Amino acid sequence: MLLRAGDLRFGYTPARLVIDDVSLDLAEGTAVGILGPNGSGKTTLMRLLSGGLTPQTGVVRLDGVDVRSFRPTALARRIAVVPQETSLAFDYTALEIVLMGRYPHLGAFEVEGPHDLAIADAALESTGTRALAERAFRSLSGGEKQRVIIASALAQTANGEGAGLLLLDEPTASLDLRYQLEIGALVTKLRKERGITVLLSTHDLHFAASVCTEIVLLAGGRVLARGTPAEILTPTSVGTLYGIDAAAAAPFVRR
Amino acid sequence: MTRRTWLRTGLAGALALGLTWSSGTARVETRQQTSATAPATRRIISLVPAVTEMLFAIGAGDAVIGVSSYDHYPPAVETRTRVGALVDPDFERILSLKPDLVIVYGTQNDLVARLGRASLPVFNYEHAGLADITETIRKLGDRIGRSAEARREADRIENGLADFRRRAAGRPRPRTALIFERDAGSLRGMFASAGIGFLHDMLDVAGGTDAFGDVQRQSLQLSVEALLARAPDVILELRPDEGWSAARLEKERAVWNTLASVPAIRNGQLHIIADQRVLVPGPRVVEGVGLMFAALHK
Amino acid sequence: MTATPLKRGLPVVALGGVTLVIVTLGAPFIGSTGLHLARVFTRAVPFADNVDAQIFFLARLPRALAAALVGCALSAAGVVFQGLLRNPLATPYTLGVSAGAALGAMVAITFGAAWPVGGVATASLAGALLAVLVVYALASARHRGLSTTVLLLAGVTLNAFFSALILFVQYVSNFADTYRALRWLMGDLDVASYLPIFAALPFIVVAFVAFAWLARPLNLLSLGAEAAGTRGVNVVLVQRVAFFSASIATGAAVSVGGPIGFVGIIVPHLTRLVVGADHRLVLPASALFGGAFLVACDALARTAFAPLELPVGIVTALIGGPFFLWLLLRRR
Repeated sequence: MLLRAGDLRFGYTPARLVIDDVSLDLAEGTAVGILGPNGSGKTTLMRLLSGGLTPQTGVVRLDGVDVRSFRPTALARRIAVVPQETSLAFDYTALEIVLMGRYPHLGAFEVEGPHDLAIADAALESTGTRALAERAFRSLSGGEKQRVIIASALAQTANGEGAGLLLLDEPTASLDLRYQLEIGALVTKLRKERGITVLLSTHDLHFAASVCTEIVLLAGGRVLARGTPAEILTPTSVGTLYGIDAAAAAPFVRR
Repeated sequence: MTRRTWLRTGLAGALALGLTWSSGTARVETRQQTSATAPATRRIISLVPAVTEMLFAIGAGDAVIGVSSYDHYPPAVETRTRVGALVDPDFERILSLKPDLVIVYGTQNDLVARLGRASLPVFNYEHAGLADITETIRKLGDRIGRSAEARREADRIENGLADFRRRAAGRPRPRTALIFERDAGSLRGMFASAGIGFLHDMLDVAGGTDAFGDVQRQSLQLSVEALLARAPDVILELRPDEGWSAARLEKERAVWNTLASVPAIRNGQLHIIADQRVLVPGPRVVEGVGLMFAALHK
Repeated sequence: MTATPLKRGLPVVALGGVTLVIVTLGAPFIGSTGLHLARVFTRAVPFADNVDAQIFFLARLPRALAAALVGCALSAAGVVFQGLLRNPLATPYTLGVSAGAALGAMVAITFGAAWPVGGVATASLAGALLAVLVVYALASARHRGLSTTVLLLAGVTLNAFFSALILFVQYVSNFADTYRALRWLMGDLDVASYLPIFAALPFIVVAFVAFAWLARPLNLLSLGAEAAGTRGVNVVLVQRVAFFSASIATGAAVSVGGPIGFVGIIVPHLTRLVVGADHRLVLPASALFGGAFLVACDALARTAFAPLELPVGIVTALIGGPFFLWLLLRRR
């Protein structure tokens, strides 16, 4: 088991728990999707799982070790987060963004070497963004930006220490259909060809169904259900998740 | 009340207001006319330290009831009420003292306007060259009905200055840098007289040539290069009297020693005059010139 | 792909270094007074009698060195503040450091007699450090780390408050002091001795060491604090180091020459246009070209209307105005 989270509880303020007793297992090479409506705590859960937040109770373990006990750079070499959107303050090229992923592998004053360049190149290749390398990141389309960030995440986790884990927070939220399909295909390809483990959060049912090997339904900070897409994505469970009638949910679950 | 009654009351009120206002204006005019010819003014407020000194010098010291924040001479001014200065005149306090003459800077337009609206007579002081000192004294004397004393004082000053001019006439006129501002402890922030203004005029009377006279400005921020290039024979540094000890003064003089190629420094002709008399364009200007004279012609 | 983007930018940095050296060493040769160069460097005449040598070594050379130091410091500090605040329009003065320095200077100028130690420069450095501490305390009061928004708010608050204090001090001072204070605010690099340079140097050197370490983390920080964190950056530490080092560099620079504006924003902007956004190139290149830029501005300031000296801050402002106009027009 790559990532194991048990009995997580967390609230930003003492008054309200955003994550309430969540346990989660993530096996290597799988793609787990956390599905839930807005405000269900998906982003918070992702932060807890990546070690970005400390749970009030419970613990998240990577290969059996508490993620909070990793040095930040050591953890970054294993877990990479792809946020929903990336806004850049300055005009970096796509290649520079990908090379930034090598940060946890380099010393304070060490400069990127041929090895890092090769990894960046391979990452760009895998995400089909090699042609964009010298382009300004800010000039890219939404889908292209996401792929470059994924390439950066690949470069970040490319090492001999263990399988890389990619956390994608709402990867298709700001993309149109074409790019949604592209990202979906890319994620599947990376999982199958490179053995990357994927954990993503989304409220897009079809995306979850097509990309994920397992789905976790999250509502109000609690896990409603867990299983394969076929098991989980039924009108009843989806209706309960979103608080709508099963009949109303049916058209969205139809394949 | 009926509408007609309202109308009548309103007209009556308007009429009353109009009469009051016009008679008030008439009263103001009358007052101003009378004060222009009034022989003496008894309640004078002066915002200008130089003019305060002039008032005391022509015997009107007792009439001075209010002075600026920066007045310190003669010692009697310490007992007078402070009413602010150039930037921050305290209009309310001025009003409350009920003056019959307020002496202001020519540039204090806002204050002058307010005093005018309060019907307070105003004497505008314009600050320029040495000759304006005696001219101001004479005008002031006429204004407050002490023309004779004012003339005497102005003559005394002019005779004193002429005396120094005579004494300086036969002597060489050293090229002098007249510096009236410098950051203590360093050679930064130096400001020098540059050909215009009462400091320049004082130097002229005392028998010195303004080393920067050709620039034709009241003040010039001096760079080290400019000072080295002009190579004045004498440096007169004017400072307010901050009560520095002899040791402190010596330390300040030593700051200049790095500029060894300047003739003034090389020949020990750097003089620091820490005295209000060289900084105030008032009746003591003759003594101020005397201090400069002594430094120039030791 | 043969060379990393970093390597491709190195020639520009080298060019910056060469430019700085040439401009700084060349500036003392130009000025409002004609010099006999042979006399400047001769040993035959004792220094104390040699006007040309004194002008060169006492007036112009310290000035050029001060300009180079201040230009380097302000440009680099500008880059770091822009990285910290994730905004290319941030300046070294955004967070109130210069307001503190100005207040210190005003106090020394006005109440100078009562302030025996070191004079205007020391007081201004003290004021700068005070401002830094206040902003830091304000910004980190609620939680660890320095949120950009809170930092900006703290800086704006401090600027407003200290500006009020500065106005008050000017109000109570006499004409000459007010005038002197105003001139200080416009920038003055006529240091008249090497002492202010040596006094500021340790602070600036320490800051530059920190800048070297900050260069790469600042790259990652521009992705956002959270994104930088997930890549292993110790965001809180980077923010603190960036804030303090850039503030110290700014404070030291302002204590030498007053709050000279526009250097800390024009130079980083132009540098980024040439070398790209990688801070490992932008920082050194901005520092080097910034130093050269200010030496040139100061040379212009002291020769344009000789013997009248234009405050160097006016020269940079005269360049800054059109610069921003050009920036604005570019975007359309």
